Amino acid sequence: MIQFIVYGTYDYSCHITGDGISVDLERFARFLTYKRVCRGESVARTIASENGSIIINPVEPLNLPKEVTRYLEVHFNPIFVEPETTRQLYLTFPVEIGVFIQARGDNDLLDVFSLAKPKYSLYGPPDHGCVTRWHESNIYPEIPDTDPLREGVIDLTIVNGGRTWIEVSRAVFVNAGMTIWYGDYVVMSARMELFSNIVAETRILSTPEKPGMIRSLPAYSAKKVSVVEMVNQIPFYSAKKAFIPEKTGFLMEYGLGENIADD
Amino acid sequence: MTNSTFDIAAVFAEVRAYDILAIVVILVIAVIIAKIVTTFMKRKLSDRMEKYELNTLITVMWWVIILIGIFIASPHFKVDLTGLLVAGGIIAVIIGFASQSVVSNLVSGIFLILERPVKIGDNISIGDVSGNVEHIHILSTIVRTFEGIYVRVPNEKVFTSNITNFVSNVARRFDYKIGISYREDASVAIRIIQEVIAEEPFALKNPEPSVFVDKLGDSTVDLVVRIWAPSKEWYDLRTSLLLKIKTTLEANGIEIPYPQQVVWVQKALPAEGTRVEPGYREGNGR
Repeated sequence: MIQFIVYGTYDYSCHITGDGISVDLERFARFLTYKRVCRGESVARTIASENGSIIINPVEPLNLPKEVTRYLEVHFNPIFVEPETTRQLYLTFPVEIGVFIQARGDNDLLDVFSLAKPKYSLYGPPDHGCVTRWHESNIYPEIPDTDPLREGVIDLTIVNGGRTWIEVSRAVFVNAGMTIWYGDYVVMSARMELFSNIVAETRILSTPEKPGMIRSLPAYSAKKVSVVEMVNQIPFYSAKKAFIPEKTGFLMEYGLGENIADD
Repeated sequence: MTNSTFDIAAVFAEVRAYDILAIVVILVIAVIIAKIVTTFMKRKLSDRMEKYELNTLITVMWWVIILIGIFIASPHFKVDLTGLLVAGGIIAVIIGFASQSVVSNLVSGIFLILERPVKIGDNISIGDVSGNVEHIHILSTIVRTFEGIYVRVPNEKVFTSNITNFVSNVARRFDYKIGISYREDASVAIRIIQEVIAEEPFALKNPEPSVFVDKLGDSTVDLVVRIWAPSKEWYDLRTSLLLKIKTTLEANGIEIPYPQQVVWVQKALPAEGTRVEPGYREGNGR
């Protein structure tokens, strides 16, 4: 049965197509063959599994063409934020589509693809800054209409607790704790606390934008990178790190506008 | 028993309760210091050194501190260490000369581990050796060259050489020089190159790439292209992007000419066998 591509859970015999994407899962003897085509690029995998399902959902846009960073930078037209105010606005972010395979209570990332063109940038100076996945967004006062296969919405609350006007035209988010929700649209809720003209802290919130939305499986934790590194490389701290939650906020210390501050 | 013979009973007969207390206190302090120092080393170096090397270093450090403690406590044993010190001094000088380079490499290794100018996996150049760092041992650094050759560089050389770490910074720049024909519109060529760069994910948006006319050369208008890329991706991007730029320029009819010289002939060449008239000459120039 051919289904149009939507986010959700599918069984092992599915043919999903639409918008230039096709995902096929077929039984082959005691194996499964996974085939995916997107924008002319095709991927095939063989899976040894009897019973299970695949989950297709939006993931953090930090995996393509290959993973080089943990940071997402959204650039927008400058906003001047009044002192001692809180403002809510909506931005967009690029979406990557993750295909997870799930069986016996465990899941793993099988494939990631995207209809959005990736572009990277540098936040901060070359020696101490960080490479970021770059995205240009308009500013929306209401939730914008987006194609969930291409773009998601960031519900951003900007807090200026200081006594000066602050100009903001970029927000950088770290992938740790980057919770993406989907339903009619794809969304992340975020908070940006402004400390000065060059320093702010951003954080992705783990609450859904509205009730009834489904939480995406993140590609970041599916890779289980941090656990492997902890066990293999830093045995002395492994127990400590395993029990202390990873910091999910990001301190933007190299500027909030067009001009990037050197350290 | 003569005076020259070591009489242990006589020696300990002179040791009083105060000396025993002092010895115990000094040794306890030495053990505590050794524990603190080795714990600190374990914390600071566990992610920077191989486990067996770290254990060896910690054991050596432990015994050095304990021996220092014993040495400090030795007057309370009422033992005359003069002869021992002389013998020890001579042995130390001999060992010092013999192991000069080893100690030098060891100390350099410790400083390299603390300073960390290079890390495992970094793409570096030390003196005439270039490649990826495979291991940083306490005495040497192992580099796998780009040809896949194993090279062991003594830490003293690493420490005293100029080290170029190509991936220490998160991003780096690379340049191209592209010559187009004088017949072509340079502004069109610049726009095409900018469009090709914009399509490349790892050609960073910021710092912005720059494309400009750098020189009016003998045969070409020389354009310079400057692009920033993530340090771990710059080489792949550098090797693939130039071909894309060349192909796109050619597809858009922009000529990248060979080195050339235009020869202007003032008069038509005479036919073969015809006598050349006085006044015929060749010239060149643009």
